[in-house]
Amino acid sequence: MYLKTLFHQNKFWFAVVVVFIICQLFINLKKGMVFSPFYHYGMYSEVMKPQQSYPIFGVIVDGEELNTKDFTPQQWDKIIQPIAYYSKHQNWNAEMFSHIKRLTGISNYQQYSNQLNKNDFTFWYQQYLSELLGKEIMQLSIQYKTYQR
Amino acid sequence: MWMFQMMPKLFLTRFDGFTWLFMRTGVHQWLIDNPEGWGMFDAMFYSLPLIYFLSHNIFKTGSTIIATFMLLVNWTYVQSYTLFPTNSIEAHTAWLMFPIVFLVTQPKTFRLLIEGLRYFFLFFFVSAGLWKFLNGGIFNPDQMSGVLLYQHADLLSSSPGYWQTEMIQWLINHKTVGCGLYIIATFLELVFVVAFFTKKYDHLLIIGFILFLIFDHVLMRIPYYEVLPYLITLRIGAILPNLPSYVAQPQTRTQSSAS
Repeated sequence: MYLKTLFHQNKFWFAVVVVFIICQLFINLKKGMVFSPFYHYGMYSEVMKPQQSYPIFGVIVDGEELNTKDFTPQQWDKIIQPIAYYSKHQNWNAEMFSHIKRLTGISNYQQYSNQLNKNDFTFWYQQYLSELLGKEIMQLSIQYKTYQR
Repeated sequence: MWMFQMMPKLFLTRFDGFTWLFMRTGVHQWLIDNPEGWGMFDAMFYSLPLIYFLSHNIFKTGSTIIATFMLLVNWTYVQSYTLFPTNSIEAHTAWLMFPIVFLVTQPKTFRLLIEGLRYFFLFFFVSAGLWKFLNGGIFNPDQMSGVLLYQHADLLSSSPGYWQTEMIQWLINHKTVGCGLYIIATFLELVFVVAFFTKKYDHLLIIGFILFLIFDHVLMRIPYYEVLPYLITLRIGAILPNLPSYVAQPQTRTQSSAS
């Protein structure tokens, strides 16, 4: 009914919507790679068994470790996500680029990798966190820890 | 969502063919190298809806051009922003999709595209429920415990004794209750399939969806509010009552004979 009405109203938008539906279904049936704006909305659908330990990050500012409970989820994401990204960006981006090269033939790795060393990141993160917490940070330490159940 | 607050410094490439092509433009790296671009991006991103409103409702000219520009800006902004350290791009689809409906000038085509977004929103939610069957999460009795541990390891480690930590720990330990919540969430997602066939229950689905977002925040600490605009598509008839209905009205005898 909807598509029929759209067809009679505007054939261009009818074609757009039909192509959209086909692409969305194709991406979902195929799994794996997506193509914006066609995504999989898995939302924790993969089987997740409880583990004995989980890797976590500790952020120590002027001798005191930041506690998750003192921040909203949005604020905590802003604190932790840059560290999580930094910890895996080299391996992750290199792996992604192997797919990019294989599937598209693109060979310019520069556009898909960060030109960032540890000192640059630490200097930037201290400034960033200082803005976020609204205070000057004299001493900052990031710890890679494990949460044991 | 503000680029200037994020102060982007690094990115992760995602498994998205469109994003790979987008990254060829180098916009994401330009943003990392040019802090003055952050404010410019924020200003364009947040002012364009107002500029569109003024052009469409006050000046009555140029709205299609501005809508096209808004679509381009939103895509550039969201594609870049979600490469930097933040949540997944799936949570930001409303920013990508909504500008499309403003490209048209005909009220009936506008209404039809809003209806199209409504179906997209329903698909998004129903498919989330279906994936839980296809990927097996729903059949795993430990699923919710596994999800909560993965999601909250830092809270459990750094904040013992806090009410939210205690609640999550309790759910991890009481697997049956956790599993029940997972099943209820899946059922809620699947129930949205009804709205493909009738609008009769849309008001209940709105309540269900808002509850889902609240639970997502309290239980999972996931602020998923960027998808809220989709609720407009469930209430468009009440929000804009002057829009023509997309369902063709049966013609009266007089209209039929006149045509």
